[in-house]
Amino acid sequence: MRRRDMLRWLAALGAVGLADPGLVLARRKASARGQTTGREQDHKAAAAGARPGKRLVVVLLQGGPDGLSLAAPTADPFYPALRPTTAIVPGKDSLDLGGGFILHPALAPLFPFWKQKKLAVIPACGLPGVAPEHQAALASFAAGVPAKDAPRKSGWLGRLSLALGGERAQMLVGSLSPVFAGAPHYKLLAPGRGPSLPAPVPEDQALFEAESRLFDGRTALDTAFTAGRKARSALQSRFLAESRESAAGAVPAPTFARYGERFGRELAERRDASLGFVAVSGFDTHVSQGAGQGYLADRLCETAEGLSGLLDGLGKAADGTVVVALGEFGRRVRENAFGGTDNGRGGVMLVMGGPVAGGRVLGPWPGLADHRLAEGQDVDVATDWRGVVAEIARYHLGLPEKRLAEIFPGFTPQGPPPSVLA
Amino acid sequence: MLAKPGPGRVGRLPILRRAVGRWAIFVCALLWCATVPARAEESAKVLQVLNRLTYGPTPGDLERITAMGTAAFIASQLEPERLDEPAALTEKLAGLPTESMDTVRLFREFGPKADTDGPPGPEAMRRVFDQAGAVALEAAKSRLYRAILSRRQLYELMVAFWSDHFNLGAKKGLATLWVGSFEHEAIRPHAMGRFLDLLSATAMHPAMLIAFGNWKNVSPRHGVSAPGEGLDTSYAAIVLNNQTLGPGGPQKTGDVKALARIFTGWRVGAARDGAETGGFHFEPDLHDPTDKVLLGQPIKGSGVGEGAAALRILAGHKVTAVTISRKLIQYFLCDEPPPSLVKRLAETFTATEGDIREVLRALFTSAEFFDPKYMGNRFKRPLRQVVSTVRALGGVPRDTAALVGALDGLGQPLYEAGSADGHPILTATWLKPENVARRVALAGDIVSGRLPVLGPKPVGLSVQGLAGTLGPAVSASTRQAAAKAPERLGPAVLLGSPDFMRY
Repeated sequence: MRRRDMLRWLAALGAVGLADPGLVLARRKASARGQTTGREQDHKAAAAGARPGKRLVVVLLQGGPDGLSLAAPTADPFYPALRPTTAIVPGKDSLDLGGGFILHPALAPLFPFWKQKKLAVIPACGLPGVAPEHQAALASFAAGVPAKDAPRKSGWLGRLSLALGGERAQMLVGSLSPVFAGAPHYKLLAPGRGPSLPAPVPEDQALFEAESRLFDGRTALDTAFTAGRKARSALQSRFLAESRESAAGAVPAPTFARYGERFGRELAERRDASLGFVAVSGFDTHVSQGAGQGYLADRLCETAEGLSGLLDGLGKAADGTVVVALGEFGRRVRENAFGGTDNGRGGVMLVMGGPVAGGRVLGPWPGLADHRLAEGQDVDVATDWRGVVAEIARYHLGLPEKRLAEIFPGFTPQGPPPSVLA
Repeated sequence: MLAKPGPGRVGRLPILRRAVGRWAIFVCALLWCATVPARAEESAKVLQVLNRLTYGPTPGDLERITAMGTAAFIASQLEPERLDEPAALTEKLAGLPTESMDTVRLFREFGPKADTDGPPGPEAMRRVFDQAGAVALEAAKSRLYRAILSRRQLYELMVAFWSDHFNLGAKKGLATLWVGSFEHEAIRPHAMGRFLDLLSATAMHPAMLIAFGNWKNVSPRHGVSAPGEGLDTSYAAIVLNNQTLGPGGPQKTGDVKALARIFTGWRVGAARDGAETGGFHFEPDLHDPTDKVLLGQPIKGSGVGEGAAALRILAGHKVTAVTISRKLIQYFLCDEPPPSLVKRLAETFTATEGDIREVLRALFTSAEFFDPKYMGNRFKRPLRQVVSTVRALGGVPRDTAALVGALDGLGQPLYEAGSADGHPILTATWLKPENVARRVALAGDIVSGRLPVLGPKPVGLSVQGLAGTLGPAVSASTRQAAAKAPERLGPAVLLGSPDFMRY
């Protein structure tokens, strides 16, 4: 009797393992540097497996880069009035994208990809219904649903990795993030020591210092100046603290400039890896953002170097790799009182790689007129990035259509997503 | 040749000459010293006239006005039609195509296109509002160019004054398209003319008719009207409480209703006869034909003429004279107008039948205008702060779009005041800590070129040049502080100083 019971018990366990490998593997945690041993048998049973040679890399621009600087709508008459000190001015250093947009001059390392039609730009892109607050937005990004609807503990990239399954279920990551929580295997390629994020320098400290010696009387004007300067300093410090906090856990952009190529090479070597993820920080530019030059420009240049390095490092594998880069949100349309921009909604998504039908600006662009903005303040989300990723997963990575609902539960596309693939 | 002077009478000549010479020098010095206070007083008057009749000194203004004298300058500013506009201004305005388009043309080019199938759909209306916003932005840019570059400075100040007094308010809808043309057609021609002409022109302008809903203020004769249209007293209330008699005047609820009934049938539409221009159209079928009583005066039911009669009563009313005079003093001189000056200006207003030019002449030639207690101690409103900064630096602004945004950030967005009274006229309202700090930041942004109104890297800005332009407007301690600061900061220290925030 006992033996029969034991056999029944083992069979049940096996069945459970076949049905949901996650239950069996839940306690597995890959070591930080070592290889993880795959349980190939479980995964073969799970899904058909990703197509060989097809990869997707997701680069999260953490902090929310300013879409209106990345792809600047310079033909829009409202743009220079909304951005007195941060408007990008078209010149010989910038790249005309058509449709009234120019690509930020600091993204020069990406210009060749545009010209070869391997880079597509999607403005007004984001996740609808996400509040412009970092923690909530990062959680929404990771879950692939607006935060208040996110019941799951897994991230969409983890779910994608699971669904692709098979021998190519490995993931290569550059930073830890809940976006790939639930992925059966991942390898962390630690960035190691590299240059850290510089702190933005508020432009007018010296001027305020000099003025404080002139506003030193007891009139209402002097009192107002002193109070105003104090409030300004306090707000500035809060902003700088927020920028530091929102960068936590990601690869600093100055490090990413060199790291991108390492990541690309490593990904190319791993035949069993079809997904990659890395978060890059330095984009929460509340203070002294700068325009064609300045703090944001420097971070964009470093990011562009990293991205182009990534595609270079992939070598021939770049032909089958799609790289998407986007932030958890964009930034507010009007600049603030510190020459910077505050958290917003719609931002810019970049899609690069061999299979991309690039050289185009994709998706609807509502323009910057007041009545077109979300709450009169932010670029509204006109393209849901989940639609773009779903298209890439289906047609590039080969995910069966019926499994798309697993990746982004509750996502019903409002219309056809912009077609990024050739 | 010259005989040597011998002793005696002839020998005393050189001593006498020297004594006379020294005495002459002494007397000249005494006379010169006596004129110092007079010259200081005169230079204070020159500065007062510059500060109050213009948006602020530009390089060379102080010398020019000292030479021509304050009386001559006041007289010339009171006749703006005799002053030419600089070529730089004409050139800049030529680059803003919609700024010179009239109301009807703007509607034809950018307004909703009537489909044969019916009213335009939501997306078509959204595109109309996109274009309306862009046209309003050009109007704001053009107003800033004029404020900075025009020689008719007093005239520009008056246009700004009336634009706030006859403000189109917050929810303008389609009227956004016409903020510029409203100012050009209803305000500019009469800004220094007769108050009644201003009142009539604004009352009949499509922008005003839409902004306060008077276009749907109807009293259908045959009992048929569109849903939502009936007697609408909003505009009548604005005319009585904001534009003429002012709050606390003798008007009663009955007067508001009577005026609303007088204004029924005043619509926006294509002209039906030669008398109607500019988009105004009177619809007799929607007009209340009964007799009305306004402020105790009877107005016979006669159609569109009732409106003219009503506006004449309001423009000629003694309380209107006091309200407008008081407001002009608040705009040009001080937050608390001295009652005697208000009385004198109101009398001039009534005597000249509302001639604004004459009221201004009375103001600028009054003793109070040059009273030292009204010199140099008024806080600039944001528009003045921004414009005076650019004027002080001289040169032609490349593009005023960034300044439009800067004004928005300082709380005085042009054409977006959001209330029928326009932006607050009392300067004390603007003295807030955040506003003051932001002006300092603005000075730094403009001088460094971060705000590219004078180009991304402005050249030729110097503390010395600025100090020369501003003269006694900045104190010696401010000049010293600016001179001590690093070179790139010096001009910003001046332009962000407390002295430059006052006028």
